[in-house]
Amino acid sequence: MSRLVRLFSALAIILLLSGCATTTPYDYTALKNSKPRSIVVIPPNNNSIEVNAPYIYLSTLTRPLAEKGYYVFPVSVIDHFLKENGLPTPADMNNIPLDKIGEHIGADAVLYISIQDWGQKYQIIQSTTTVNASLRLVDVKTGALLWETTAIAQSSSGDGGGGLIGSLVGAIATQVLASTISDPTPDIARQANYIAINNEERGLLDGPYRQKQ
Amino acid sequence: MNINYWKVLPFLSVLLAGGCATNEEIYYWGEYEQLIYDSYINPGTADTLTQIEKLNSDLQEAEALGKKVAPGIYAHLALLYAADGKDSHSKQALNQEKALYPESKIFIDGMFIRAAKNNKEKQL
Repeated sequence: MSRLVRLFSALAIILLLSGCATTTPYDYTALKNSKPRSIVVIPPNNNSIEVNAPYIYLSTLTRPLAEKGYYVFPVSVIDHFLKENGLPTPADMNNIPLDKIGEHIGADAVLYISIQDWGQKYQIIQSTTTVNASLRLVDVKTGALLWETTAIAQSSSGDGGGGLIGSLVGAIATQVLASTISDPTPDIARQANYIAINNEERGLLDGPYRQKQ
Repeated sequence: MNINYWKVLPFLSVLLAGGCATNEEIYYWGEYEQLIYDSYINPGTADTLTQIEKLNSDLQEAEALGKKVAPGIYAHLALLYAADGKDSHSKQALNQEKALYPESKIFIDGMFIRAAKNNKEKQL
């Protein structure tokens, strides 16, 4: 019986913590009025020092948004289309007038993204991978802000064991591995997206392809 | 301390049900997002023919699993076919995207119009 008590007090603490993290419920009035069916994701603006961040992040957004029930325009095809039409960089693409997006792409909503922080930092005994991006969903017809969130996640690695020396070697090894073989940022970004999009109080509402059972 | 199981049970089942509702994915995703990543970050590993091959095997897998093809996959495939000079394949894939997802109609019809215009200019 005491095990059960411990289990429930642990559960209660987790619930309290998640309660604290989500402040007030999001005001969904604009989103409910707009009822978008489709989202075009504009390649992100980059405020981080990682030059590849915009396109790495772009590659992680289709799945969570589509699984939330929206039609997501093919991100790579849209990027090609915009480049061919005289917009070579994400910064240019973020300045397209909404009426042009409506006319040529036909999206109901556009997702604007600003990457605030991205990538690995080496911190003496471990390396930390951070993803931090702000997302704004805007109605293409009215320009109204429908939903906004911050996708943020962090993971630490490098505890190789063997005291400080082992940790130092471990941290460097993960950093080298990450930059040459496997980039940890897409997985961190996916976690950040999942939490931000599916948050019960402030996440995105279900779209038309995610029908309630 | 005496815990009443029956009072706790509905609470637990809500948590469980909440988990179930979001776990089931609508689509089969296969390699699509990895290919997008690779085409920008490691282009050498994701040339046009490799991407076409992987996406086609994903389409077969989706069918085998009885899952709907995810938004954008046919349109992405169409772009690859166009890059490979396979215009009829490209056109067919665009039509499949439009049939599955009518939301894409304006964009895809625009691509058809621009492609027709380009062909005309080439002939002149």
